[in-house]
Amino acid sequence: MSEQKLILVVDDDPDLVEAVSMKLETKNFRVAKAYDGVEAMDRIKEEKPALVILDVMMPRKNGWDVCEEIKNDAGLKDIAVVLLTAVADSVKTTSYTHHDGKTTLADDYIPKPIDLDELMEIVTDHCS
Amino acid sequence: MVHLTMKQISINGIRLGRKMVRVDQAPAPGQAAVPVYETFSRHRINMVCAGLHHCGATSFFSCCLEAKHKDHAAQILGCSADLPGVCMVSIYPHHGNIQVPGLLMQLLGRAGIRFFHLVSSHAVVCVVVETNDQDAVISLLESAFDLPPSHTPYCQEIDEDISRFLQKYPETRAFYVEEKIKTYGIQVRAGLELYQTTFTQAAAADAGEQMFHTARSDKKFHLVSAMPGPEQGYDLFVVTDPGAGTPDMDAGRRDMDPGRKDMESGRTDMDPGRMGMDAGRMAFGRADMDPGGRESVFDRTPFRTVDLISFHGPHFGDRYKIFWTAMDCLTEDHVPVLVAGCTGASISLAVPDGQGRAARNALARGFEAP
Repeated sequence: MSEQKLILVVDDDPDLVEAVSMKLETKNFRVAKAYDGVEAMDRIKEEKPALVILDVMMPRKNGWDVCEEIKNDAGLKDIAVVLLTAVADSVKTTSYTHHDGKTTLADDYIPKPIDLDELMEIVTDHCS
Repeated sequence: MVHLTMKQISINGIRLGRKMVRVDQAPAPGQAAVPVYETFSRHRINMVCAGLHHCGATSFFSCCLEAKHKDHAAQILGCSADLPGVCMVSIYPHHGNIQVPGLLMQLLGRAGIRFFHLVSSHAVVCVVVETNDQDAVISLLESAFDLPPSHTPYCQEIDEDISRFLQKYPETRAFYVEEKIKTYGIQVRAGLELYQTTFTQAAAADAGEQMFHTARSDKKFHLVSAMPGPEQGYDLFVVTDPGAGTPDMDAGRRDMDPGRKDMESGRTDMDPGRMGMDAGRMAFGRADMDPGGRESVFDRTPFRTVDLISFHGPHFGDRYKIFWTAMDCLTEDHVPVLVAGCTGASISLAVPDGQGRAARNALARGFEAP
């Protein structure tokens, strides 16, 4: 039996975190949860998840900054990051540039409002 | 206080909603009135949270609006007096543990803090209180719940940089062009139990305590909504898994810390404190068994079996017309709503047993469910 991969779900909407977590659990993933960017970094360092589903607009630290910290840390950079982004139309590649110069090294993204089935496919692809 | 002998309940955080006003509507039985949620939708006013209780011929609706809508709302409702200012304090996640709203009610009741609405979503329990009581409520929660050390109560503020950014790429853009309101799925849970009770302000702590002690680890709650009713006192509705009202005789022992359990394992006579705790649990079902002479507020018999519809969508908490659309769809298909609770981005609707599927079909006219 293969090891259950740990997925960290990060969003400041606790109900969305719950909905995504329930879906992940039905797909046999283990789930950790965080509700802002600072807490997300704590959980990432403690638990080293296989993948982080990361909202962009969050209190204390936004998703762009969290993603940057992960990808610039030699010990964490292999953790896959899937951004929940509101700006999908402006995203042309997975390492994309926004109009105001914000950049991210996320491995993938999914536009909000998210399609949970699509998100599960993305997570499964990155964890396989 | 019984809960001091038990492990603190872990929650992840406290959220604050400031600068709101409260609007209630309680038409007399048989009196036709345009629902205020319809009026607000027509005037593009968002309700931050809302609750609707139907019981027999009576109904009661309460909601909160951002204070910036205060004058407009008062004008369209024809109110001569100011709408009362309130704030919201939320805790999350509750994990369906009925001890969370139970403890919250205990804390508020013991502190003599009046609340105007207590309502849950999938993950959050919110309570609406007077603005002046917000700090006291935060202190109570911080002392009674186990919070992460780094936690600070959080109030959503507008980030100017991100706002400017989103003016070009609005996160809510889909809302303005969508034919149907997007959701993350409409969930139907059939055969749940609805408990209903009414209690006075003075009995709020006892109600919370009884709720706390009836909690069973294997039975979750799915909706809690409590509001001051049309009469003096509160109406409380709780939707739970089937069997949640059946006492779990081992629950109290499981909750106790190990030292206390060992200490009591050899005893045949109960001490008064423990007697009081067990008696409180029994009082869940039998008002006449409460030895303390306190008001017993629960009946172990479910009020009725219900189906619960719940759904959650992007920015529901920031958008007008969501609640009205839901109620409109259900009214058109003659699906009665017994209890409705909305907070954050979630809506929960309890409908009579067996009508969940009909409700979902009705809602599909107004909402897109993946």
